[in-house]
Amino acid sequence: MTPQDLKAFLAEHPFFSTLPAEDLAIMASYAEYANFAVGDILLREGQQATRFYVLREGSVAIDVHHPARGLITLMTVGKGDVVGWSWLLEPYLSQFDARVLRPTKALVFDAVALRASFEQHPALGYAVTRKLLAQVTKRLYAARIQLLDLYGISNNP
Amino acid sequence: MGASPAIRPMTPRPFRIEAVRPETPNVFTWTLRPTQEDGPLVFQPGQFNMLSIFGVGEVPISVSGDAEQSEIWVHTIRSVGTVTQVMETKKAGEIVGVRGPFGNTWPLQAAEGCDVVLAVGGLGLAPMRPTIYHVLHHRERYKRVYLLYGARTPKDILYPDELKAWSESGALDIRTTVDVGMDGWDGEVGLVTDLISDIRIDPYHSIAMVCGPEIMMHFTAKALFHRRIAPARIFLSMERSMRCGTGWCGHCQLGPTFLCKDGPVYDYPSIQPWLHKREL
Repeated sequence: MTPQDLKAFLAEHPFFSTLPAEDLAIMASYAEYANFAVGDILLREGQQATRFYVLREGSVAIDVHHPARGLITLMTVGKGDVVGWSWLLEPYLSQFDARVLRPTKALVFDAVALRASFEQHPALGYAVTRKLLAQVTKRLYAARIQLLDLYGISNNP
Repeated sequence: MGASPAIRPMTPRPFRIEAVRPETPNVFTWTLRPTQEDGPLVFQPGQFNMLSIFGVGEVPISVSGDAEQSEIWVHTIRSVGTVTQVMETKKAGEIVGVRGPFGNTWPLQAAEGCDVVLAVGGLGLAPMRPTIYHVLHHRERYKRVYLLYGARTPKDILYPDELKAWSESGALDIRTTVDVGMDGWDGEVGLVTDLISDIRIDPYHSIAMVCGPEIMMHFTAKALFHRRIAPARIFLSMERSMRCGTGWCGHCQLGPTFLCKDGPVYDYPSIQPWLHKREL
């Protein structure tokens, strides 16, 4: 995918579509397009968070390892979702594993370089932080609803 | 000959439990056959019966069988309360009471020629199953048909063999997600609302039918709005404490409506003012 293709893709993607053209160009300069196979590990819990991913298609499991129960999938994410935001916050360590469940196409961002660039482009940094916060809010909401155990409740007498 | 339910709606008729099928933990399916000849058992998808254990009590349970099978009632029941816990102990051959069917039906005629989204959560698949059978019997009448199903865990997925068969037949596009993943589950984990963003529909010619816990239906409707499906084309099946089934007792009143008589199926604009009303 050429830099122009990347920029065009970003402009159409819901995560980036509201960014001005110059910001899209900056984002595109830190991105590359990649395909991932089932079982590929995108992030590993406890490791340096140096990349983040914006999914174009496919499915990725967010996993945590439980000493007694093994690998537990907390949620799955897909088209349009972002995988990884620990790169934005100290200590820059991934909190969970991210494992490819189905063949996945994604934009991969050099998160370390992008974070450094935000020092020169604070407005872009703010815009991306807000967009990531929206994703965090969506995940937090989903986690809270899952905690409600809705399907375990019934009004049947 | 016994009296028809239309003539004596408050009188339970005796039915024999023909089969008991365990489904998931605490959930089982009864096949019921009348003990006396009383004509065909006719119902519309979405309707429910009042099932009773004599001397214990009576509960509303949706019909979950095929409307084209007119000799039996099929009900899937979760054991959670006094009556349903006794029901779980009943064996094939025992006699129970049945009144009904009551309530209205899903908008199956209005959905003809449209894309159809069936969004269900938990035990909501049971009331939706007659609709699925109807769609399968008349598949040519509908365009794309999606079944979006959210369950608690992989072990709580209802009717897994049928889901597999329906999916393999290509007649339905089935997407399943669970709240909690477990070993061996390689499907989606998350909310049923997350499944809505990825389906291909013509929103202006789509009908959505939603069945599950009220809060799930509320947020599913919102996700469907985001896909530009008009509120009037979204239908919910409401569950409240139905008692008489005829609108006489008022137990299931929600705002100006009686769920047992006017519902349980409503288009979203009709029921929206009463969703999330804490006092109701």
